[in-house]
Amino acid sequence: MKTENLEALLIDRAMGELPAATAELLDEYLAHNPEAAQKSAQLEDTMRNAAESMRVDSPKVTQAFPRDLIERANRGLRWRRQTAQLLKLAACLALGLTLGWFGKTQPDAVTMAHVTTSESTLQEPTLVKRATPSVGFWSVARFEARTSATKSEDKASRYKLQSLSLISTSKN
Amino acid sequence: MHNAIAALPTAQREALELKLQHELTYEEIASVLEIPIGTVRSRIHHAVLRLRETLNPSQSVKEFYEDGKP
Repeated sequence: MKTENLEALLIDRAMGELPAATAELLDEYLAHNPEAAQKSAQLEDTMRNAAESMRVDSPKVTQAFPRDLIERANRGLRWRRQTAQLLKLAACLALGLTLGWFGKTQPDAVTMAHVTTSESTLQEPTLVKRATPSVGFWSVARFEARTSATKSEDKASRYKLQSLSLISTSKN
Repeated sequence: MHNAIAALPTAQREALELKLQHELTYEEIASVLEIPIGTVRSRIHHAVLRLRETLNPSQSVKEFYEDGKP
């Protein structure tokens, strides 16, 4: 490979302007050519030093550089970054809306299920009682005590309801 | 390095600064400076090679003779 072509490729790669496929080929070439690899390292050093020098000594070095051009470049860069962020946000929003709409229009799992039952398999529902009955506001024990208290109005049921309330209060 | 950059022709320095300091792509630099993208590439290449030549003069002379030029 001619030195000029190699240098052009090396500079483009160091600047991040070389396509990925070409960069891979160049890496392969550099792996087999130590001299070219050395040249590549030297060019990268030069560019790194130049970049650092420009950052540190920017006002002196760029004295002749038109300020409006930099501002225009920065404005363009800012605008592009903001646009990219907005586009990402819009894409997320669109994705969320699409997923939401898709989820809403899909039928529920219950309606989709095809239930086949026969009379022989049907059973009467049975009440499963827990070993230690819950005494919470929603508990079956409380519900039973309340219904029996309202129906029979007897003292024993009322006492049971009160005791359940006391237990739940002490638990909380 | 500071002097080497300052000694670059303005056109090359502009392109190099937009690339290294403002991290614009060749395409963006072309649109900012209103020049073809090939010209941007050429200016940056010349600027980098000139910097290297200034910093490592022996290297460029060696390459000059290695390429078989007179």
